[in-house]
Amino acid sequence: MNDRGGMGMVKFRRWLKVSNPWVWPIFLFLAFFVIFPLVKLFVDSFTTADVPLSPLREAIMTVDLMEEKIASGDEEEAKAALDDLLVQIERSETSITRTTAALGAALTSQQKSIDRWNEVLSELGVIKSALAGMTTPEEATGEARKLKELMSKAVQLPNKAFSVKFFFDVFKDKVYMKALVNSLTLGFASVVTSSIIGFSVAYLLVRYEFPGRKLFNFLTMIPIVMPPLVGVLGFIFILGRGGTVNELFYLFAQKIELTWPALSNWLFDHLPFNFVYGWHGLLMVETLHLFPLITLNVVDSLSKIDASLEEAAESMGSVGFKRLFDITIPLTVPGFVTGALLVFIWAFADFATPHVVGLNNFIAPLAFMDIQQFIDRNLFKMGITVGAVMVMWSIVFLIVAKKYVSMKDYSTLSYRPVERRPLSKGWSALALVFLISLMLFAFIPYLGVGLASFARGWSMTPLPTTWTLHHYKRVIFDAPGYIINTFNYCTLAVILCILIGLPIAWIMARTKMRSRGALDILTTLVLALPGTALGIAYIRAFNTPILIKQPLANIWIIIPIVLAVRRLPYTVRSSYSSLIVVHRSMEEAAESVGASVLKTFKDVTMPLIWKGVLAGALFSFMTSIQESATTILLSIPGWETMTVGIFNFYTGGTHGDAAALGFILIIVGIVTLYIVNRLSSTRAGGGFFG
Amino acid sequence: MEIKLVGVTKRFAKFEALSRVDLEIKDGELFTLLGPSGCGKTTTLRLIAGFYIPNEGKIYFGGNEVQDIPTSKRNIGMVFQNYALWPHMTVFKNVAYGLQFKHIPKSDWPKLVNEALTKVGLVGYESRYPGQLSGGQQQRVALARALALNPDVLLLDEPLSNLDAKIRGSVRAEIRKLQQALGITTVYVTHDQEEALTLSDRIGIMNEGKLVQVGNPHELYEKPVTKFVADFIGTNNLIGGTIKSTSEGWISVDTPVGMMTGRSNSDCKSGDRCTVAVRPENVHVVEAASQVSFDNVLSGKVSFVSYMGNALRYEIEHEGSLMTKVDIKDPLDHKELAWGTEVKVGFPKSAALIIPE
Ligand SMILES: Nc1ncnc2c1ncn2[C@@H]1O[C@H](COP(=O)(O)OP(=O)(O)OP(=O)(O)O)[C@@H](O)[C@H]1O
Ligand SMILES: [Mg+2]
Repeated sequence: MNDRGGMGMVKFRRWLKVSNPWVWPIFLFLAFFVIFPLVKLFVDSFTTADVPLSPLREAIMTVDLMEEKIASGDEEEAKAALDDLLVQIERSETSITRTTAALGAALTSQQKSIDRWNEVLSELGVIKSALAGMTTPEEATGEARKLKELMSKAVQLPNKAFSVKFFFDVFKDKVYMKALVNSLTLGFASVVTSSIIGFSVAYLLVRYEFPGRKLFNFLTMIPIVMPPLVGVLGFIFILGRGGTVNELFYLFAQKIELTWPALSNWLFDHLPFNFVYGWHGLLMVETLHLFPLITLNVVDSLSKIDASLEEAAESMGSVGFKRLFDITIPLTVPGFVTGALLVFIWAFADFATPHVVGLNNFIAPLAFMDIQQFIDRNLFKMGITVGAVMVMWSIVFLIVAKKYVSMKDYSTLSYRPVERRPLSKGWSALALVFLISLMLFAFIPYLGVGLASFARGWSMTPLPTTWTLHHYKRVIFDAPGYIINTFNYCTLAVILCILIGLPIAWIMARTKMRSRGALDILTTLVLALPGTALGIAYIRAFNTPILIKQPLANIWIIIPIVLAVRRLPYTVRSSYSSLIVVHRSMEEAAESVGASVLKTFKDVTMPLIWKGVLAGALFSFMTSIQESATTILLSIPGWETMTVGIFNFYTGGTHGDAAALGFILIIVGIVTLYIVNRLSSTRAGGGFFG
Repeated sequence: MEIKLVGVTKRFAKFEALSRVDLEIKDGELFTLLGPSGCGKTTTLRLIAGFYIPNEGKIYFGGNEVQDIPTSKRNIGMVFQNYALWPHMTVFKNVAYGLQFKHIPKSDWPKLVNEALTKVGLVGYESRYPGQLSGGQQQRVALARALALNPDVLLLDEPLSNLDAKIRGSVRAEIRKLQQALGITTVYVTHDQEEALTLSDRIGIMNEGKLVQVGNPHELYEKPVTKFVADFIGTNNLIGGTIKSTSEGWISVDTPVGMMTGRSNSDCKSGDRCTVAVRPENVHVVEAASQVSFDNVLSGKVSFVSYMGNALRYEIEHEGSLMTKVDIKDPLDHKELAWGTEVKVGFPKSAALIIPE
């Protein structure tokens, strides 16, 4: 017996080792919060529009209410219920008509269901006309009971079917197609412009030595901190038609009216200059915001190129641009593709910027509005389908880029970096002019947001005329919820990220588990998912109760969860690259002197990687506080975040308050980024994406 | 093409990695730079390649000053320690890449690449990527890439250090054969003395940024000019002492373990500090009680015996914590002495080399 017990123990241990049950919660989390919403999104987009049957349910409840009131002798209330009932019957009729219409769009004939729905409709008509003639609730009781029975049966009827109509409607609809083309164009164009700037910056930073290099190393990361909406508004405040720059031109033109009338007249004829409205403005805003994503990733790849690879080329006579294009640039492709993918998705899914610079008809804003405004259930249906189309595009790009974007096994960790070359005086000056002017442009939104947040009613003057702290008082003291919620959610999201991301990274870097491939694909997929699409998927997946009474989409916890999912890839990647650097033999050494796996992790691995993990976590935090697409789509009244606040204030017309929130967000973002920069011995970035 | 370094000094910031090195490498020879880690071998090679510019001194290729000519114009072929194959190019592209800079028409590339790959025995691997090759194959591609350009000088920096011990020997032989067949001037860097001794026409021994001795393998083994070389090449017993007198070419040295006699290749003055060097295979050991008739005898105690297959090595402890090693070449005819046995160690004066400091 004893022996068998011992065997059982051994077997149990082996089972523990082989099947690693501790990773199951992680897979469960991923299955429930990544795979399920995405699958649901596609299922929904391949289903006929699901018309809400709530009027039918309400009618049932109203019948109950009426009977209750009659029983308690409350004549007045019973009468009101009867009136309600009539309204609900009418609304139910609309619902049923639309349901049958929707079922008509199914791929396979749904005639049976449609017939049954039509029966309900005609019976409803009978009841309706019967009820219409009755004046007292008491005499209506009989008909009301019939109604209740009918409705209870009706809500059980099938109201959905497989359909490709809506999915293909998107591709037939000129508006949506034009929007898709516009968004794809914006994505590609942003990749091109950000790449040119991002690569030049990266090359300067990695390969050359010039005064201020370290400072620019940090400064060129900052533009990723950009609060939604107000960031673009910041550009408008400074460069818009009535912005600071144009106002200064007006003043200048007035000044020289007498001394140089020719120029003055020309200026008056041509002012205001259009710096931002239109495609050029859109591209400028996206580029100045997104080039750091390219820089971060290229810096990482570039600094990992072994010097001998370039020297080998040089020894054969390949120098200058030839070597740059034949050897150096191809070797940065992995990092570059990751950065380019992020830029593409970001621009492709940007739902605020096009609108602010006066361009309409982009795919993300369309989907966003369809979902947000619920104007028409058909449109809502379109929103879902557009969400699915966006996911499809990200998957397509991911497949194309997969080779480069998935996590790499760094085959050579010991490399001799190419030495930095000092720039001569002239070139240094040129590099500084380039970087400083780039930074000046990239910081325009900060200036604009900053000024607007301290201004009282700023318009038609270069700078605000009266200053105030009123906006800060509003967002900090009067409505502190936005800030408090944001910090709570983001902190919680980061904790979740680490709890789930670190084990994933560990599995990827240290084990041969078969699930590694799946984990890699999942985390990379999440990296490439546009926020708008994920938000829509979450609304669809969690708006019905699962396991618990309330739908998850109505509980605040959904926001930290979606933030954690969105930022999970950053944490996984930074932890992974930290782990890869800690050679396995260091852990084996600890195990060899008797430390258990957990103890080894705590005493050897953790001390060596915590900086990298923390830097990744803070980076996730920094980007979480800026997250807008999902937070706005999933926003729950009373639980709003800062980005939701910015939208609320903006649409409510209080730009100053929006700017104040935006400026706080900018400051917090920059401070976090600074800490990240100090934590990571090399430049932050590679770890997060590559 | 012969290579000449004259008074070459290379500094990294304040650190002098190479001090006044003079070196001549003959046309068509395989010259090896040998020395311990950090002694400046790679630095010397990279100066020849043109990746570094000397702070002082001159470098000549076939009589022409080259220290100001960039690497790309020196017509060298280089094999890097990590091979430095471009991972984004196939084997064919890796090998062919340099041809464009020699203005060779594209139509000739396949032929030239094929020739280069034939030399290293890798025909048929053209379309593979470096990541799909074994370490040894990568190494040969790197060699083919360097040879495809028909360089005047072939530079190799520890080309075998990333290979496992088994194939190292065969690749070494291949490199040597190829080099002799092509008659190409070759500079080879290694810290493995066995590699250097078996491969080279001549060897330059380096230590702490200086070239200590240049010679063929024989000379270095038989006639080391410094204690460092005597210690570095092969195994040697080194006994410090002071020169007492010289007569008829024999030199007497006063050492803490008694008087020794030996010969020297350098000038010796009495009173100079010096080292007596004697190879373990030239030393004999007998029990303390035995009669011996060696020129130099010292007594001690067996402290360690190790069996090395073709030889038996004793380590003998003498007074003043001096240790000597003794190799018995035919262990079969020898009755092993137990640990702790009191012994006498002796060697003929012809086997003792006196190296003044
Ligand atoms: N770029 C550099 N900057 C500063 N010091 C350097 C640089 N390159 C080499 N050194 C130093 O110069 C000395 C010689 O280096 P070198 O690479 O030539 O050694 P090596 O003989 O090739 O050693 P190994 O056998 O370990 O490769 C070393 O002390 C090294 O630290
Ligand atoms: Mg070296």
